Amino acid sequence: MGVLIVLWLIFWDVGATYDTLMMEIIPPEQRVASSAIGAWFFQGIVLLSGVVISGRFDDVVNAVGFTLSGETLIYWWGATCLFLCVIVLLLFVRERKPEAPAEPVTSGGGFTGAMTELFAQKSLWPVYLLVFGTVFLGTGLGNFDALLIFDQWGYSKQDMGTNMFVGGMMNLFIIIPLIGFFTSKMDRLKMFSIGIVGSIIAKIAYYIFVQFFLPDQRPSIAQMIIFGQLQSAIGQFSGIAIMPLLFDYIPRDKMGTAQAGFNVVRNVTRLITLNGLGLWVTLYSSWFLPVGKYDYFSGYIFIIFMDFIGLGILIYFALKVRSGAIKPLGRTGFHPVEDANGAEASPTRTTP
Amino acid sequence: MPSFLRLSILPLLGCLFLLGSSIWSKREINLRFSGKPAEGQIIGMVLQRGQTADILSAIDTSLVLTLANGERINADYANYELIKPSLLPATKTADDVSASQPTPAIEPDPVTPASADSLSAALRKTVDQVVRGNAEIVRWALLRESRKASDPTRVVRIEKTETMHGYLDVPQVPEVFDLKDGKLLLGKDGVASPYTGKVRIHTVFDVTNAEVLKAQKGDSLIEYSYTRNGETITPGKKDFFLSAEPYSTQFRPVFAFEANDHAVARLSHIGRHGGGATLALRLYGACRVYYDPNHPEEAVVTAIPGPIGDDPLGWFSRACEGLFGQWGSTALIAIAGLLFIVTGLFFISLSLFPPQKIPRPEEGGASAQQAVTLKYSYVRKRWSALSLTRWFGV
Repeated sequence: MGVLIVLWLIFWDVGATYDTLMMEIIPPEQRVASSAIGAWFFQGIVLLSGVVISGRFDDVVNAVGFTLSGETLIYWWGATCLFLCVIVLLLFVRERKPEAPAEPVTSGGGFTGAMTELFAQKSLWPVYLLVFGTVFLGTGLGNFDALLIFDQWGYSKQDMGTNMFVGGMMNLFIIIPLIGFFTSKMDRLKMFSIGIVGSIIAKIAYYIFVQFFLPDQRPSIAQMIIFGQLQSAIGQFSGIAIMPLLFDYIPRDKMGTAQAGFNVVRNVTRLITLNGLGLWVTLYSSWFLPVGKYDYFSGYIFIIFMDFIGLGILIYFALKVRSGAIKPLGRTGFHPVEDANGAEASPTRTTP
Repeated sequence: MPSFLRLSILPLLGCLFLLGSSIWSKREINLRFSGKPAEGQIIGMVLQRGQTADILSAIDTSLVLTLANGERINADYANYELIKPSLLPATKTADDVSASQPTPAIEPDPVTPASADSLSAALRKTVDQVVRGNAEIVRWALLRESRKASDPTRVVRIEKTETMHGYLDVPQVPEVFDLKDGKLLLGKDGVASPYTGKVRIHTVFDVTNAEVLKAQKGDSLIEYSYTRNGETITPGKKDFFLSAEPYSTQFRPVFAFEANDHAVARLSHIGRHGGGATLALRLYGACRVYYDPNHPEEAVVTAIPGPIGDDPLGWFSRACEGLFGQWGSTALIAIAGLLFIVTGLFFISLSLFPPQKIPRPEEGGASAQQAVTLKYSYVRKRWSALSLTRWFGV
């Protein structure tokens, strides 16, 4: 199982170049729109998952001589979706060959050479800093979220599906279009900052409400939806802004290097935050709960702490951008369509 | 590969998935749409563990709730229904109730009208939750009550005893059961089954002793015993019968219904792991059955989500679990098929109405980067035509 998970993560990481390919094609002025449409489709999947898939995990169906568990069904569903992607890639996608062969690596071979190649380029340091901060800001309960809802609060997986469905519907038809409308002319860094600060406030409010106001420290499904939606709605600002924002600061000729670099930064930082979360929940539970019981909700204290670290990094980044020390090389280096026809165009045309 | 072959792969695979979903649920689809409907009830639960199974045919629950003012509330339930009007503060006697209600009938609501008058709505809710709930529900109930520090009628101690009657360690569970007076029989033609057995679980949850509570880090469970045919054992989880099982145990409801003036009991084809407390097919709850009139034992059970009441989200969860617990696997296989077909049709449409061709540099076209921007220009025009950007306002 461990080997399979490692293999999965390796291939998943290779697949992370998807974002680079997307951003390579989409002009800067349409990246937020693309991101919003992507979020819209993603919410569509969340709806399907909420209504049909989540609640099936514990189910068992005995039919035509077979016993099919919900867990197995969900894995097969995931495998079928991947199979569809593989078929589309095999049959319909052809990558155009590069005009010139890639430049040879100048930093030597082996692991050290590869790492030097990734991290020696100063133009990418701001991107890595931003990624470093966003991982702190994006720290969530992870797998503990499901354990919190099922194990600690005693809800069924279908209840969680209902939570996802109602939240997904609101996101799909109200929140994302509204955010798309209001943020069409908004600076991405400002949009991201609104999302982050609002999200921290919403998390603190949720923690205080559950821990100190609810008599059994267990929110109802409606309360989970209300607070979840509050976090989600505000978080959509940062969620939609993050990828376009990151690529604003990546020079076009370094997208591949940047992608590899921030995958390394992201994974190492996430490794630290996730393990930190696990250790924190274990420690907190050992202080306040009987042996063998865990207070997964205490993870919110850790998350809020991580958010403040990330916020500090974001503020530092924003100040550097304002002072001009960090430049949006990804936007200034993108040549608009008119260039291809030789028409005059401003090379620094930037729209939100 | 020839173009038509390449374009036909996805729709073909999609059709195969659709065919697979109909084969997978052929029996259920036939019964659901051509079977005869009947009202039914979940009358038992099979707990399948590896090669053996326990079959629950009846469950007795005894509750004693102690309030902060010293009053006690007693309630005895059979199959989650109150069997006598004893849901009273200890200061009253059963005779007092008998005088006002000479023939106390078993009500579908676990609290009889007479006793309901004597209890606050919050207390009734607590009692109703505790009867069916697992150990965690009881802990939460006590935690909630303990926040009402100045209320003398808050619950401070809950004693719950659950006795399961049925068949233990059964090697082979039948698909169809015999019934006698609405009760499951394992042995044929009235012959007693050698597997007949009883499991008794006794628990006490108490928050009156602060020192004990502190020593247990807030856990109010102070007494727990689990006896199986009189033998004390330690289950994996200190919980009640349907919640003490490991995750691998499969719970399968047994449903009963009337067909051609005969009672039929059958094992459901759907079940679950992780406890018997399903939202949709609740033990001793109502269900709908579709059966073959010529072979009544050929039947399929479907859930009834019940009234929406004041909990629309709860109702939605029950409805989804009932619907997709039954048809979820079929739906997912069919959705996968539709995904393949729709994607295939999309590529066919691109083939029939090809996009603007962008010449390569060697063909006198733009450079790679320029080609990308040109290509995107085309996509942008398409987007604009579809008004997608206008819909989103971005």
